[in-house]
Amino acid sequence: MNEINKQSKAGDSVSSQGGGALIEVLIANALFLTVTAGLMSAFGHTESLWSALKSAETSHQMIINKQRENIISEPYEQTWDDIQRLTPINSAT
Amino acid sequence: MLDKNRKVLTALTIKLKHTTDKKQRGVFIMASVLMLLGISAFTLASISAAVNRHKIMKSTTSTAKDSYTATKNELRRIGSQLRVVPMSSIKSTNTNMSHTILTSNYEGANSQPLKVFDVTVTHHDSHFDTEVSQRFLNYPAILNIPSIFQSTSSDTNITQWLFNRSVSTLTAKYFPLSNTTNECVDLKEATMHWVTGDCELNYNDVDHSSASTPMLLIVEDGDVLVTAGTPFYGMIIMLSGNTTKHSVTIEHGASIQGALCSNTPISLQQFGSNSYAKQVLLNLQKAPKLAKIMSIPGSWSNNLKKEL
Repeated sequence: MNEINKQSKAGDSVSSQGGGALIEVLIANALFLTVTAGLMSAFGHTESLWSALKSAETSHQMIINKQRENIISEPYEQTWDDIQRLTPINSAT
Repeated sequence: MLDKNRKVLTALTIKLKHTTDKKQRGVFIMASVLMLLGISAFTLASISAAVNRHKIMKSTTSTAKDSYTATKNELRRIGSQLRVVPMSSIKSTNTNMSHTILTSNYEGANSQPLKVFDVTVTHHDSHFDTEVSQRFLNYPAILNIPSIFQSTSSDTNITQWLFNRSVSTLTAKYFPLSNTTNECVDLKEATMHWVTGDCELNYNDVDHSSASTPMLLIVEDGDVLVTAGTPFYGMIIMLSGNTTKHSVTIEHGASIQGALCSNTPISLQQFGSNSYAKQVLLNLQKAPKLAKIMSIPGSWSNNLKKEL
């Protein structure tokens, strides 16, 4: 009878150890999933920030290019050779 | 009995050892997973920080580029205005900008009036002052005035002498604020008119011109008729790209004071007067609407000053 009791106690101990392991696995899974979800969310955020930055940079560059084009384009035709026809240039008295 | 107890103890010891091994393995796996997650989190945090740094850097660069382009635009705007507007009436359009203009007067080989403007534009920012300087040369579109000989007979190189362009390459785009038309009816108050085809001038067409405010009229492949009582002050240039001999008729009481030039022989029917007037031609050469302005290559400089 005493032996049966001992065996029963040993069985209970093994069963409780199995339950503990299950909880540990569940906690580990939850932790893993939470961290993974957080990482994915941060990755998505970074990726969208990067693409927004690229898009803003492209449109800004286009505006700058247009302004630079306006700066270098002349409303009338002239060349440095026209100035050469005026040489020698002297200070006006 | 003792032997049985020993056996049970041995079995329990073995089970305990197995359980401990499993726990250690579990802890090892969890630690590995956590380390991997940690590495991923660190990598991601580094990337996020790098992207944020890039964002700040790009934002600063964009602001600097914007202020630099705005400064160059302002410099360009002032340069364009200096062509026709007196220096004192040029105002900055942006409150963050200020400018200084220094003027020097020069003369060309044939006493052409020339002006040099040293323009400096400063863009004031909370952190930096962007300063851009450029030297501009203001010169006449009519590089040389025609001689009396060129106004009495045709000259195939007349456009080369006047504008440094051959007849085939000279277009209305050479002249700032030019007015192109197919007829000479109510010519607008522009200093230069480019007419393709015949041109009949009456008093109403040229009433805004005078000896001090003469006008330039280029007639391409057409005849000219100055009707009775019409005084024309300035220069008429007849250009022909073919062998057709075009005619100029000056009716009674009409006059051309300045010069009448052509690149091919013309048929002149003169009942009024056609006189060469050097002063009128000099006034035409000095006309602000016919002036051009060019930035002098190599004179550009920029400077970045830290705001104190």
